[in-house]
Amino acid sequence: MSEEGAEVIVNAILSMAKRRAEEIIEEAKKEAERIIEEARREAERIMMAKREKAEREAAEEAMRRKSVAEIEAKKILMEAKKSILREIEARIEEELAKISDGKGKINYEEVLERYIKEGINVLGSKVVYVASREKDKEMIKKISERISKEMNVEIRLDDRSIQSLGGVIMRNEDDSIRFYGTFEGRLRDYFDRNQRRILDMILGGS
Amino acid sequence: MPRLVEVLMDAEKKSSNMVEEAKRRAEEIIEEAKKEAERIIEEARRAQVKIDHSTNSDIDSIVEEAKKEAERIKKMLDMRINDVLDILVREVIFGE
Repeated sequence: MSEEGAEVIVNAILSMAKRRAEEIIEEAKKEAERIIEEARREAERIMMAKREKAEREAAEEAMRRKSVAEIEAKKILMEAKKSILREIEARIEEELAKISDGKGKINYEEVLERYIKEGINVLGSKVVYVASREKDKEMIKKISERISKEMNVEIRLDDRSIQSLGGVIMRNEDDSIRFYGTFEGRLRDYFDRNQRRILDMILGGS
Repeated sequence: MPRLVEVLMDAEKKSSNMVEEAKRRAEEIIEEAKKEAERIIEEARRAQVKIDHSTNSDIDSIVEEAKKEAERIKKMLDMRINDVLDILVREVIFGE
């Protein structure tokens, strides 16, 4: 073989080797790209999972804070309504005190007469005892004389006085039944049963 | 003839070296890619995700609205108490 022939073969061998080397490098680069691309996708999955977790936690925290705020808001409104009821109760007490002092818009004597009649009906006894404030005793005596004849019942004034805004406490002869007709009792009972209605009257149902 | 064999053997050796060198380089490329991949994933693992709490103002306004409502109903008491007081006193004394 001539020298030229040998050179052709050598060049061919080297050329094939060069192509093979380039192919190996090219494949490695492609594999490297694939590895990095897969890593990027994995990183994206990690970030997405973190975002979802953070968003879920943020939503839960927001919901918790909202619940706390709603409870706080309810407490504020409830306290405002309680404050209104307390103030109304105090104003009514003032009015009741005026009435039992004979300075109100309602005739106290008529109130006492009504309560005593109511008491007689509740007790259902021919002899009843009436306890009242010390300063009401004269008025009670006068009313009792009138009602005794009218209802054919013996009304006895109780020796004991009551500490009250006004009204009477009555009992039958053996003290087995009592009738409470005091302003405080009626006020407490009225508020126990009518809080919502009172608020509606003031707030117009709002 | 011996000269030709020598030349061919030399060419084969060079050829083999080129391929071996390419394989080493390929391994390096893959190793670098693996390291880069680890770095990318590690960076994602360490990353802090921040969420905008845009609903906070809505939550704060719930309490603020309640305070305003409380003030409003207290003012309504002042306005209406005199209108209903007589009715309430009468109902307490005589019943509803």
